[in-house]
Amino acid sequence: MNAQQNTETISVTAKKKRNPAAARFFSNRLLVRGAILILLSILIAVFAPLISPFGSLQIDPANRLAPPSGTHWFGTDNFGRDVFSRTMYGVRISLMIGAAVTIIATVLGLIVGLLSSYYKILDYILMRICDGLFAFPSILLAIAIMSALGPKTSNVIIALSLVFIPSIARIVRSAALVVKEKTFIEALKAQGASSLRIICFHMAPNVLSPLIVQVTYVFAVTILTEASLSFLGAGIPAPTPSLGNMLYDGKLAIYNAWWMTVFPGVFIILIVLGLNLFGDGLRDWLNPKNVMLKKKKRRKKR
Amino acid sequence: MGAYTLKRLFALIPVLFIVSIVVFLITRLTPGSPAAIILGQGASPEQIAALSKEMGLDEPVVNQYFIWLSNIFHGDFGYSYFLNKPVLGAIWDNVGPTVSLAILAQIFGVVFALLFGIYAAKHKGTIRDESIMGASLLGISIPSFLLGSFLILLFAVQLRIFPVSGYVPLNAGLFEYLKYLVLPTITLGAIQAALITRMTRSSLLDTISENFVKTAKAKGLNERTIMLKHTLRVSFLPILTVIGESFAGLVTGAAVTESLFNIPGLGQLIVSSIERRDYALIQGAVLLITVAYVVINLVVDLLYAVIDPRVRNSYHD
Repeated sequence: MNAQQNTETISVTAKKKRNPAAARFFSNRLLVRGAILILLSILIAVFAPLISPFGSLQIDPANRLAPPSGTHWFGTDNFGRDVFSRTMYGVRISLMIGAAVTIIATVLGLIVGLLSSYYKILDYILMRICDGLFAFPSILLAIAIMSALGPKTSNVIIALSLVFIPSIARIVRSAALVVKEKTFIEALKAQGASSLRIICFHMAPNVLSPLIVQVTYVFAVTILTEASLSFLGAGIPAPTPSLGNMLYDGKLAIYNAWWMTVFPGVFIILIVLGLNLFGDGLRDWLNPKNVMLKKKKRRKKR
Repeated sequence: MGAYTLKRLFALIPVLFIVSIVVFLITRLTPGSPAAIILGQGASPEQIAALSKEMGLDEPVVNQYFIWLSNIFHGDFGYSYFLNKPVLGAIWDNVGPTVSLAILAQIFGVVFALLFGIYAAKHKGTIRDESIMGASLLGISIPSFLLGSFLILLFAVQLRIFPVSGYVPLNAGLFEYLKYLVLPTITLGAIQAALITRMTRSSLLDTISENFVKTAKAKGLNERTIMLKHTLRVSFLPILTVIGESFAGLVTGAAVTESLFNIPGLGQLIVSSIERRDYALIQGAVLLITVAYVVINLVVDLLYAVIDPRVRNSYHD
C-alpha cells in the first residue's frame, strides 16, 4: 500500500517535471474553468448555423411571443423568430466583434506602445492623444463615434477599436520602458542593430506577457460594451441578432416574454465570466512573482 | 502640495485639448452637412446654405474649431434645434436624476463592498470568502442593463414590489422618490460593489500580514479594534482610488441604467439625441461629462496625495 503510494507520487512529480508549464496550467482552476467557458462559446460561434434549428431572421407571425417549448427551446420573439437560433447567432456576432476589436486594438496598441517607448518625441505626442482618448468614459466615446459614423457593424468595430487602443498602448509602453533599459538592448545597439530590428524582434516579444493578460480583459470589456451599445440602439443594427440588441427587444416585451431577456442574458454572462476567469488565471499563471516563489520554495526544500 | 496640485492641473491642459478636438470632430465625421441633417430631408438648398452660414460652417475647419472653443469658454454650448433650447439648459434640466442615481448607487456600492470585503478578508480561504469572491466575479461579469432587466422581471413584473420604470423628483415625497430609485440603484451599484469588494479584500489581506498588525495582536487588542482602527485605515488608500475611479464610471453606467428604467437623466438625453441625430446636444453632453470625469479623477488623485505623502514625492522623480 505504502509502496504503491510512493510510486504514485513519484510518477506525479515526474510528470510535473516533464512539462511544468502544462502542469501549472491544469492546476490553475480559474484558468481551466475560464478556458472551458471560452471554448464552449467558440464552438457555439463556429457551429451556429448547424446548431440552429431555424434561421436567425426567419419570421413566423403566427407564433409570436411563444414560450419555450419542444420546437422553440428558448421561445420566440415579437416577430416569431426562434430565440434559441438568434442567441446562437448572437454569440457568434458578439465573439466576432470582440475578436476583431481585440485584434485591431492589440496590433495598433502594440505599435503605438512600442514606438512611444522608443522615441521620445513620438512618446509625447502619442501618449497625449492616448490620455485624451482615455479621459472619455468608454461607452460615451463609443456612442459619440457611432453617432458620427452611423449604425453599421463595421463602424461598431472601428468605434470600439479606437476606444480600446489607448489602454493596450499604455500597458505595452510601460512594459517596454523597462525592457529598453536592459543590458541586452544596449548590447544590440552596440552591435549596430537597427532600431526597427530591436523594436520588432527584441522588445516586442518581451512585452507579450503583460499584454496577453490585458488582451483577455479588453476582449471581455469589448463584448460588454458592444452589448451595451446595441442595447442603447447605437450598436449592431436590427435585424442582425447580437446579444445586446436581442436584450433591447427583450426590454420592450419584458411583461410578456421573460425568455427574450433571460436566455441571451445568460449567454453574455457565461462569455464574459469565462474571459474574466481566464484573465485572472492567466495573470496568476504568467506572474513571474509566482514562479519565483515556487522556485525559492523548491530551493529551500533541497 | 501646492506645487503638486499645479503640476497636475497643467497636465490636464493637453488632455482637455485632445478631448475638445475629438468632440469637435464628431460632427465633422458625419457624412453630409450638419445643417442638412438638422433641417431634415424636406429642406431646400437655400435653407441649408443659410443655416450653414449661421452655424459658421462656411469657415475653414480650423477657424470653426476655435470659434466653437471660444463659444464654449463663454458658456455657449450651442443650440438644440430639436428641443428648441440651448444645449446647456437641456443638460441642466436632466442632470438631477443622474446625480441622484449616481450618489445613491455609490453609497450602496461602498457600504456593501466594505461589509463584504472585510468579512471575506476575515474569513480568508473559507467557503464564506469563496462565495463572496465568486459573487463579486459574477458581479463584474454581468452587464448592468442585464442585471437591471433581471431585477425588473423579478421585483417589478413577478413580485410587483417596485415600479417597472419611471422617476419621481424628490419634492414629490421621499418615499415615492426612493421607491422608484431602488431597482436602478441596485442595478448601477452592483458593479461598484463587486469592484470595491475585490479591492477591499485584497488590500486588507496585504495589510494584515504586516508587522504593526502582529504587534497590535501581541498587545492584546481585540479583533474588531485591530480591523477597524489599524488595518482598514492603512488599506483605505487603494480602496479610495477604486471608489474614485468607479464614481467616474458611474456617470456612464447611468446612461444605460436610465435608458432601461426610463429615467429622464443625462444618459437618456444622450441616447434620445443619438436617435434624433442632435449633434449639438451629443457634443455638449459628451464634453461636459468627460470634463466632469477628468475633474473627479483629478480630485481623487489629489486626495490620495493628501493622505499619502509618498505619492506627492514620487511625482518629483
